[in-house]
Amino acid sequence: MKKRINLIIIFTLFVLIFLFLTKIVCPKYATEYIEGNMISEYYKEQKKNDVIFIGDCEVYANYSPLVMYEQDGITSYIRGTSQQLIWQSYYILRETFNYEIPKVVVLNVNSMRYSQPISEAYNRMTIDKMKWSKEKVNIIKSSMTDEESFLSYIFPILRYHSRITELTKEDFKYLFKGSNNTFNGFLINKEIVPLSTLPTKKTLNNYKFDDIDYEYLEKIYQLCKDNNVQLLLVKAPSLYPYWYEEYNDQIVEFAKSKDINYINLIDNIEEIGIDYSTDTYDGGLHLNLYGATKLSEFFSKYLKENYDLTDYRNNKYVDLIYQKKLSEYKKEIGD
Amino acid sequence: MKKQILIILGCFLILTGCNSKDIKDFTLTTNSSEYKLDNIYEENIENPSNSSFESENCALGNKNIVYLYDHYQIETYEKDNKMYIYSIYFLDENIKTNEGIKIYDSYDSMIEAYGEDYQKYDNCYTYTRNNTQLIFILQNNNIISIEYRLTDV
Repeated sequence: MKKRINLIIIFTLFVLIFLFLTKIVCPKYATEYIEGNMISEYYKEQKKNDVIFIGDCEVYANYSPLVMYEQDGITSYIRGTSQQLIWQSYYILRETFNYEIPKVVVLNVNSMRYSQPISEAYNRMTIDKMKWSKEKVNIIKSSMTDEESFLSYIFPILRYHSRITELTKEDFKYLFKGSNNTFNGFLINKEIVPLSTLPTKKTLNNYKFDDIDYEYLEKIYQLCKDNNVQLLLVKAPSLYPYWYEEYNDQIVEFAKSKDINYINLIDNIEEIGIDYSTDTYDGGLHLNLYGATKLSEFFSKYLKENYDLTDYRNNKYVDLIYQKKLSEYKKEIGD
Repeated sequence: MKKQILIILGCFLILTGCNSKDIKDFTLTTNSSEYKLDNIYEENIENPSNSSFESENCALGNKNIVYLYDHYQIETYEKDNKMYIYSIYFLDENIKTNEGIKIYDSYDSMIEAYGEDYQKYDNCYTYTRNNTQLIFILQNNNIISIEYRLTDV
């Protein structure tokens, strides 16, 4: 009996040490590569969103849900990650639907141009901090590059063990608590790097989106349809990498065939009022806070006019949550 | 004995001749500079670029810079705080490859200069030497795009 108890104690200790080591060596994404933490911030949120944004950096840098709430009372959350690929969008959306069913899903279509995993670093930033679920298993399987192994996602210590000699204060500070870097998924950037010049648009041999992109776009459409959610396709007003006319035409065609809306915001730059000498933090790739505010005001109006969304400013419970967020947001942006 | 030496020499020549390291990478020589893919980009004082466009990879922070010249643009990536060339893209017909091919030349002139050892995908013809590629896109039998590119970055 005593032997058995000893064995149980040893085993428990082993498991605890193993879990601790795993936790300590995993990147915390708290002050560096903070985009890696965005996927998990959602879990802590009150999930009562009418609109869910999904996509790559073109969503989390360009739309501010709090501006949209303040202007029109729209509740929304951005489930964006760096270089989010279309199949990743699908599984993240599935996961989101396990928590809440919004009225509208806004999908940024920039990812349609990519047909294969780009790099492990991006995969890790999107997947590492997802909660375990069927969706996480599928997103790993569909995203791994040749050099990655499924096992290293189950036991991240296999991937990150070498960090044991490179630990920083951040690893201890955020060992048990995550950091919060966004406002409903919006990552604020106040820098101004004006647009000066753009490279020449290259001629491509093939502009057609790959079958795998269409496969997952179709799946996203079907998932929304099955859940009675309206899908809205958007292209953010980023000037580079180029969004070719040929790309645009394919999305127009898809949207038409499904009878859903598609708005290419590059066509609305003037109407939105974006000034690329002040409204971008990297010379035209992403909008900064000032550009994102303009875009969010425009987009909120578009959503209000085209979809049946609730004005939650009249809901005391929701408004209380949002007023608190707004006060923190305004403090952050220095308003 | 002479015959044996000749056979050994012949074998040596065949073996060394087949060594892929002896296949020269694609390079571009302009009036003022010689550009080699995967080499550090150095601005030529006599022929500086007109302008440049700098961007960072989302979240990761690695820099990419595109240097714009009158007739071509050079794309570079960052490694160890230095910029390395990974693409040279022709902007018009006023620049030629080292083998004399320019935009609007015909398919036949491409074949004459580079042969038929290419990979074809739709209208795109790719010649590969080690980890460098020379890529032509053709339309109606004429070259409409020329790019030197690394096979992987």
